Amino acid sequence: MRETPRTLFQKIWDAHTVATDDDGSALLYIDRHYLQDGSPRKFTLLADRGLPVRRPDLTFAVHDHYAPTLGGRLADVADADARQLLTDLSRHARENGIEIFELGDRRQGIIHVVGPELGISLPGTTIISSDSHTPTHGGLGAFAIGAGAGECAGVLATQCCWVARPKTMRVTVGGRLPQGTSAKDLALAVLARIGAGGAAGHAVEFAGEAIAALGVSGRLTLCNMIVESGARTGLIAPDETIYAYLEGRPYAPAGDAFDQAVARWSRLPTDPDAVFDRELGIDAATLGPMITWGTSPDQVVPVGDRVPDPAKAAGADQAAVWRAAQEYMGLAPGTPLEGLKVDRVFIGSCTNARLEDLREAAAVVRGRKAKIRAWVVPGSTAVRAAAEAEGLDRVFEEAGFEWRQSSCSMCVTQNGDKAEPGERCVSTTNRNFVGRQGAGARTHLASPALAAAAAVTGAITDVRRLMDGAI
Amino acid sequence: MTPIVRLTAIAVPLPTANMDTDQIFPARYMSRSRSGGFGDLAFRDHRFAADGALRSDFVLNQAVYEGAQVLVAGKNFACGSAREQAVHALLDYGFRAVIAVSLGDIFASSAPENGLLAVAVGSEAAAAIQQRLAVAPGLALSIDLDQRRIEVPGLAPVLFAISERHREMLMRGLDPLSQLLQMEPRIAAFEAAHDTAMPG
Repeated sequence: MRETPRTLFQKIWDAHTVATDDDGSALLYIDRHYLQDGSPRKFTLLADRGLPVRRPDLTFAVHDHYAPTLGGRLADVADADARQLLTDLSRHARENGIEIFELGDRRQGIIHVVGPELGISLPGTTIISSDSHTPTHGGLGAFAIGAGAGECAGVLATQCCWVARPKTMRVTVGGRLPQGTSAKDLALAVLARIGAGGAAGHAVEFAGEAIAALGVSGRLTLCNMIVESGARTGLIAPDETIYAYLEGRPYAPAGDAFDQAVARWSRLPTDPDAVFDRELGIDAATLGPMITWGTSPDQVVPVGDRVPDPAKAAGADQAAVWRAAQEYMGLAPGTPLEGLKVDRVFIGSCTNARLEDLREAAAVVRGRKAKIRAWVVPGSTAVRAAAEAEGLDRVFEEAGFEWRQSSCSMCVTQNGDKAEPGERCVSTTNRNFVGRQGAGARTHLASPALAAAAAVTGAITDVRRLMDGAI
Repeated sequence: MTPIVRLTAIAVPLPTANMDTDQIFPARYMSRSRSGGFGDLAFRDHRFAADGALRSDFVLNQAVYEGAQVLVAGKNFACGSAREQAVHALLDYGFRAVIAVSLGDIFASSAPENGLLAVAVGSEAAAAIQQRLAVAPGLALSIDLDQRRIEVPGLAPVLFAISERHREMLMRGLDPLSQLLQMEPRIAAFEAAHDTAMPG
């Protein structure tokens, strides 16, 4: 029995180490490998050497980046190259006995929504995918990382990957999130605190009262967004909320096996007295709705604030960065964010398109009308169906929103869904980089509630003004 | 992959912080195959305006840096999306090494796996190198993988950290998949004892 107190990260790392290198890197055994409709290079690298997929049973594929949001079928994909990538993935999956949730399958969706909802992503598992938001699954207590396509070829062949050992950081969030404030706002507040590279090379664990109060959806949002601080991954210790969520899901252990799994998962949380390389504390009660103003997710302020003055930046370099961002976004220093006219709204992505996110947005939309073009793209076909069962689709459609099919869509624009040059878009996504949502598109990242408020007012609006008694 | 033991080449200064992979390889090209090479797509929207005209003020379009094989970058270089196309675009453009203040995590391991040396030297050392490049545009520097150091005329050698595994891979031009397959006995032994339904 181990004497040294260990963190959640260390327990998973130790349990999956096959070999180590002189710099502390480990060859990790991978429990879950997720494939998306990207480059088929992973499979061609194997085929060139006549190598089989070692563990097709631990490998799962989806159509998400190129999935069309209108129609939802392969025939609805206009671009021939995109259609090729989708059919290539389906073919490779079938040839190798890999389960695929493809267009037309009722389990299709964004992998970081599908993995958790099907019970494939589990506490204590190592998860890999060639997508930078793989850390999302850390919200369930997994060690989940993004890697390059070549490294994923290695996983297909050996079920292992060399991973540089990250440092550890714990962000303890005390108190409770106030009304009108959600996990997305907490994530943006963390980014404001630590900056875009602030957690570079760290595995970040979230703990504390406010984290324990988050549902699974909020935990996934938090671990998704921490990627934008340069973190290697995010993790949250599993607890009763997670166990209740997982019980009965199609790929989760069942019956006695589930009880045994819970007993093992219960030993995962960080030991008392375990040491982190860095610790940070945040009081959730001080937070409110946040919105980005610039071209990096850490260029963010409370919605009631103004675009900052480069003269007040921390040095000449940051001042230059702020000026360039403000020029791209067409915003003068000192401009209030509230009242800024918006051209369109996108509610979607692996960050914020689960059922809870759609409910959060619908609560703001109900009884109101969209003043501008607004889309809702559910994170998966299952989320879409569940939302329809609750009548959320009618709430959005009656308000004039477009209710679309599940896809990564306007987050990354690979399927052709994008904003026009100069369009100011409030988006529940994770990146506001230059040109991210289309050449010249101006993205403001926000929570589903704040995005909904922008849609029904036509401007950036503090959503609490639309909630009785909230302010 | 072509081995790198000691590389001496012109270095291009690109100190902009948070140069994400969307800028290195725009998402709209993600469905393209590499068969024609990705060199013309590297930093596409920095090198070319929307109408296709060359942006003469962008560093890569300046004649003095023609033939450069080393990129000297800023903080958090290649952060953002995991796209390996960014690594390929840099290689196809002609770069064999990236020296940065710091690197996006996924890029930091994906680059050497594809034969592109990528090292993080911290802000002080990077600033010193950038200063030398600023006074002598077109300056060539040397990267010695055997000695783990960067030699810039006018500067003391800059030492960098690199894992033994990556160093050997790059120096011998080894392909990472072959290296991984050699681990089979240890992987099989681990797998036999590991329950993936209830790992941990």
